[in-house]
Amino acid sequence: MSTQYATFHLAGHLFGVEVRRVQEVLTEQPRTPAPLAPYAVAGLINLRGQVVTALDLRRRLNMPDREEGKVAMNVVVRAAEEVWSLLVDSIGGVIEVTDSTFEPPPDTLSGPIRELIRGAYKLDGALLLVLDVDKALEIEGAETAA
Amino acid sequence: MDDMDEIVQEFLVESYENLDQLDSDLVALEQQPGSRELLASVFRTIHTIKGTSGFLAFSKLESVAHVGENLLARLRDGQLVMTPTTTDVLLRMVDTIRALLASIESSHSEGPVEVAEVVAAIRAVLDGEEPKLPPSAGAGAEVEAPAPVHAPVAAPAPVVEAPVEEPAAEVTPEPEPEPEPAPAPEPVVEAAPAPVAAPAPVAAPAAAPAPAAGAPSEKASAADATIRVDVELLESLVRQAGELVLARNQILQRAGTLRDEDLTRACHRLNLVASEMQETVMRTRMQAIDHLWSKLPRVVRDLGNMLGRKIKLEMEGGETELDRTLLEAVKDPLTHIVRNAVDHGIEPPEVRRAAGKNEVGTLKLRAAHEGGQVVVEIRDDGKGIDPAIIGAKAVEKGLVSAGKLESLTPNDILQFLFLPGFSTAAKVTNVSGRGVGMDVVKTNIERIGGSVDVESVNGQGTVWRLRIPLTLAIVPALTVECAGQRYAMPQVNLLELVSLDTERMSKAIEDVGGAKVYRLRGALLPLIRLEEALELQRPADVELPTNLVIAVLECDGRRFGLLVDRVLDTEEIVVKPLSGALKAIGAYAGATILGDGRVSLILDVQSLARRTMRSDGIEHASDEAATQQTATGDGQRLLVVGLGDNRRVAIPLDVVTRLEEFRTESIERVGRREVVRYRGEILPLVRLSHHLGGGARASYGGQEAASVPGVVYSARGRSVAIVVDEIVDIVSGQDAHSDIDDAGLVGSAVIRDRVTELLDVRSAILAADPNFFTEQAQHELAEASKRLGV
Repeated sequence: MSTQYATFHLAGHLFGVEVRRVQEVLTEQPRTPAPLAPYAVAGLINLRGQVVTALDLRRRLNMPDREEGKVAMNVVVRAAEEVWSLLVDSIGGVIEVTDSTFEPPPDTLSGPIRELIRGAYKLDGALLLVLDVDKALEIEGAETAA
Repeated sequence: MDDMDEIVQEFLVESYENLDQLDSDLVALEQQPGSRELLASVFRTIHTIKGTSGFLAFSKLESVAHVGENLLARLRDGQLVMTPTTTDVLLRMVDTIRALLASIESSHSEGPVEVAEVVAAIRAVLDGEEPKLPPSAGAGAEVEAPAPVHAPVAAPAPVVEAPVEEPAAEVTPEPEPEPEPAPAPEPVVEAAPAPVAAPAPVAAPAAAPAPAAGAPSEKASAADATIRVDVELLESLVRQAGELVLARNQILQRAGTLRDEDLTRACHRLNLVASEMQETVMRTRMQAIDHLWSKLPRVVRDLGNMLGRKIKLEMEGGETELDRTLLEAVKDPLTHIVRNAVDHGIEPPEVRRAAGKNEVGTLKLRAAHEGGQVVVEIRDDGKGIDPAIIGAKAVEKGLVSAGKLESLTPNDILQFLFLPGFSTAAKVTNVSGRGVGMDVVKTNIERIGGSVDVESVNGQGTVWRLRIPLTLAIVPALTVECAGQRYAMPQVNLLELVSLDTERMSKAIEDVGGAKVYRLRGALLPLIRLEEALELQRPADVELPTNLVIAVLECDGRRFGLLVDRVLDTEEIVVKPLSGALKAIGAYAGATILGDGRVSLILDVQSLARRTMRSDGIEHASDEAATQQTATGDGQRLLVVGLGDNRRVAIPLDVVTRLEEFRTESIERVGRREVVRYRGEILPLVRLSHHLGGGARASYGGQEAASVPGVVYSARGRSVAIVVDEIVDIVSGQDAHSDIDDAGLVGSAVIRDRVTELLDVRSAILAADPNFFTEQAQHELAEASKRLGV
């Protein structure tokens, strides 16, 4: 069995989301900040008339913020009944991986990333970390901006 | 198989409609037992259900409907006379049918619903015996349309298989009238010949009187004028129309900056089509409030019988339409208030008699369009709500101090009823005390942008008033700016705007123990700084403005001021839902997309107020104070508009129903008058610059702008629009008055350091529509003009 993943980069890591969850990929979009929202919420964007919440994955994964001036790409994903945009550093391609190369998250992994990763595919020279989209979007009650 | 499903589905939809009709017909029938027309209608409905259920092989349903039909046939032919017992078994039959339908809907089968008992009961009535039915307690209390599958009839009482004689066999021409257990409904009949008959002509097309044959012919007549449309399809159409409007806004804004005539013309057309389409699409979702009301006669009857009250239900304005999503949201609050009125409002007959009232209480529902909203009134002539009792309870619960209580008006005190957990019911009855209070009613109504208030005169009755917006999707809003961000704020809550320059600000805003307040015409207005409430961080490049604006808002009967940097515009916005995570914050009611394509959050003013203020620190805005303020003239809120030649004219805000933009090209002529087609009506226009003479910038062709702002005034179904050159501001109070005036004016005043002319609204409206005023409206307008005149 093999699965297709849409991949993207985040602070030097390679991440993947199942292709069927991804609606589209967009370059940097103007965002309206949402005061009082959980820390990881980067704002709201206008996706052809639909208001979509943008989630900064760096913040969600407790990684340092993107450097000033670096644009964020939007990976638009479908959740249960909502559409969200995940802000990432850059977009990779779609790759197909075989299940035999999959392993659950290593025991040494800790912090939020461990909660949000379903596991890793061992690629040549890189690890593809599989993001658990639904868990990543569970931000209600999560920390608000400091 | 799909075809079959579709037929069943259609059967269900139709039957539910018929059942609602049945409920009200039966209750009406009890009042007018002899009505041939009602009997024929009831008979027809049951006959239809029987026929179809037989065809679809729903045997239980068929057997219930069959025996019911027999009974009704007897009634119709005058062989039996309608008695309360007969009504009871027939209503029970309706409940059973409803339970069966619910089961068919959920499980595609008739399920475990017990029918033998009700069949036996009906047969007993047919045989002139006393039917054996468990006491009818639960039935009345159940309001929800599709009763749970285990409806009251499911009680496992041993079924008495009634002597199954052929009903036709024993023809008892004049059967002994049933022993009447309940107080007979005669007094009701005397009091009003047709009290509950009102809802009979319910809008539902299926109810149209059709030749006895039932379904096929009824459907044919309905199909001529209407079709059934899947609600989801409609919703998506509405969404798309909303999108179209937004896209149009964006295009218009962009095109306004370009000099391209073709583009401009195309834009005008787009504008026209988009507006009309939106209007039409919104109308498809409108439903008459009768849709909800048709269920109430049954509720009132059952509840009244249970509690031993005699109640006459009157309904007025059932044809008033509102958006179906709103209708849905209003359903429970409305039912709750009605039940509450029956339970706590209207006294038992003996108490009423002792108080010198008619022992039949009146419950009156009234719905009407008023100023862009739907107002629903629930009025009873019961015992009223005693402010003393409410006040005492409030003190007991520590909501207010005894000292403070004395300063509150009776009306203020009644507002405590809307606080969570506030119940004055002396005892918990089956009806009240289910943990649902007026606070829930209030929350539900506010959730859809409406409001609810209560008035009561001790001993004479209570009025609950719901104000509901016409539609949810599009709301007029004010856009404001704070710390470089824009927010939208629904105008429903907005009372006025007060502008403060920074110099005055430090003096004008005072500090009461850390809380900021502003003296608004002598009263202290608590202030919320939006910047603080949202914990905004002002970017380095966004300076503090030299002016601040206080948006004076009212919600929960309280007033407060929201301090923002700037007011940008008023816009009709399309409300977009927020993701759950943002909804949970409680500060935003949704989001919208503004003309430039940017997302803007819509502030949830109610929650902001609740988040920021402790309730005891909030001034209660009393209606009395408000009336005084408007009456003294300096509290008059004015809409300031601009005309050519730099003129400023003020119009009292209470005659402003709406602000609109009219496309110049959509303005047409009828004789010498200008009109515009608007919401399906022909709206007469008056150009203020023409009306007041001079500065006639408004001419055809030439230099005129593509659209002109109009101030729409509506009263009693008539509307006119006053076309101006520019909407400037809403202000309150005037610094200096003079009686220097001219034709069409009632004086002038200095507003914001500008001489502003005060419009004689009456003459302006008459200029547009000489037949506008009914006597009463004339009186109101005269009052408004007087206030302005000072």
